[in-house]
Amino acid sequence: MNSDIPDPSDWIDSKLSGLKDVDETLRCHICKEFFTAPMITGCGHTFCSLCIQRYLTNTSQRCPTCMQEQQISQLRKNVTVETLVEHFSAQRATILRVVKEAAKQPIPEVVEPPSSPDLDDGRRRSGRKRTRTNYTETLVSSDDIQVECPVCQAMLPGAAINRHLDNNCNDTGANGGNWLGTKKKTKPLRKIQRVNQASESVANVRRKLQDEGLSTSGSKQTLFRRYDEWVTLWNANVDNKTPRSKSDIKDDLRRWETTVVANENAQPVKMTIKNIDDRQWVQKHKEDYDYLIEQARKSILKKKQEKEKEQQQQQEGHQKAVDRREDNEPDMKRSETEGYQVVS
Amino acid sequence: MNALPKRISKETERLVKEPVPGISAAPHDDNLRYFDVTIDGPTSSPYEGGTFKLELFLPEDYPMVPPKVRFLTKIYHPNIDRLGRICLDVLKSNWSPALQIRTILLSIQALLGAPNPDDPLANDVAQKWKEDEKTAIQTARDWTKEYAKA
Repeated sequence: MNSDIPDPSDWIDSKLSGLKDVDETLRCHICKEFFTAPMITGCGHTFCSLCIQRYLTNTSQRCPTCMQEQQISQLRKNVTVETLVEHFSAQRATILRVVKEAAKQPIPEVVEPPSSPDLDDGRRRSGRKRTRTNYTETLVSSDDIQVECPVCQAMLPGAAINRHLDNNCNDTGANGGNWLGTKKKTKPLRKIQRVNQASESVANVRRKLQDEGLSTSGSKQTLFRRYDEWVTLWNANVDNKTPRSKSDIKDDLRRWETTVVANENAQPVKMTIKNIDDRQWVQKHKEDYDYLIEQARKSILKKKQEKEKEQQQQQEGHQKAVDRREDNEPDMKRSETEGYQVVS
Repeated sequence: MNALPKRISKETERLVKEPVPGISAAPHDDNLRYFDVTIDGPTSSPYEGGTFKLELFLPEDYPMVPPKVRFLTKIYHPNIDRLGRICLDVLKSNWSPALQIRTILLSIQALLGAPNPDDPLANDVAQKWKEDEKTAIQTARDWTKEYAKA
């Protein structure tokens, strides 16, 4: 089992086990990763833009957390959470390392004499506090800390920030801009409209795909799905604080097509559950299946009989009704069905 | 086979690191989507003292679709049929990707503690449960003793 995936449980046996909740809160309930381009629903729950858009388009129109009805148009950016995630995830590894180290050496000599017995129970606050500060000083120099550039908002190591500012933010590569206004990202990215399979023509979708520089091969179904997924991926990217390039998103789409779509075609093989051979299962549970079949037959028979009985009664009743009517209102023989309905 | 999605790895890791009391779930080495599960019968229920084996499978589309779960141990319960299939809303219409393996297993454990004969899957059991609850509970207890003792 792969155990080096960062996860809220990393905090459990550390001295700051409370951070597990913080860690968990900053993760998307769908993918369990830290939020990427977090979007808040009308009911106040937050998910990654891509996760929630994909869910609302493909699976269900309800909030995964509270089941209230939701539409993509109701989603709004959750900027505060985005910033929180950014800061927390930048510091996470460091904090974790510090608290893990602290757990290994519970009594640093500088802070407390080795005889202090109750350091671990958390009551000696001053002691704990000093311990932590001490470690921060020794393990994390300010050069390791990621800081945000006040001009272009790029995250940089503390050591590099001065040089970065001297160079007009020009040293960070793709997302670094220039504060004089020659930013690389000149026009803001725009979201694109979804297409409605019922009202849009195939030719139109094909043209849209072509305009975006995407493949136009495949059946009608494939074209619509491809464009739909493109809209999802693209719009999620637009929600991102630092959107990726169009060719990156195209790569994502290609990956989606080779994994998800290819998988669907190969499903019969994939879905076999290990150790469960269908034939064996049927043999093993033959008795139970026979029982279920017998029950089903019985209930069908019972229903049938009930229906027949009902029909008989209705017919009798109908006959009576007709007789009665003939007695009382000889000229009201309008429709037999009407009489039938009255009785039933 | 596709690489295992990170979410599944995370869930598995958490199930191992932070197990739910009375519930265990371990993936097979050669199929990380297939789990062997055991659930202890809740206290003060007719299933108390029993350990029930289940199997759980995460379909390709998980978490967009619910996991497939069924009892392998025979159990006398109005919402679980003779093949071990479970009638539980969160496994069907009320599934949400915000739910996960541990919450589903907790729901199943809760179902053992609160049988619902008004929404039955095993009709004969449900009928018995409604007509003569005492005997039904006794049967559930007997079955637990017979089939679910480790």
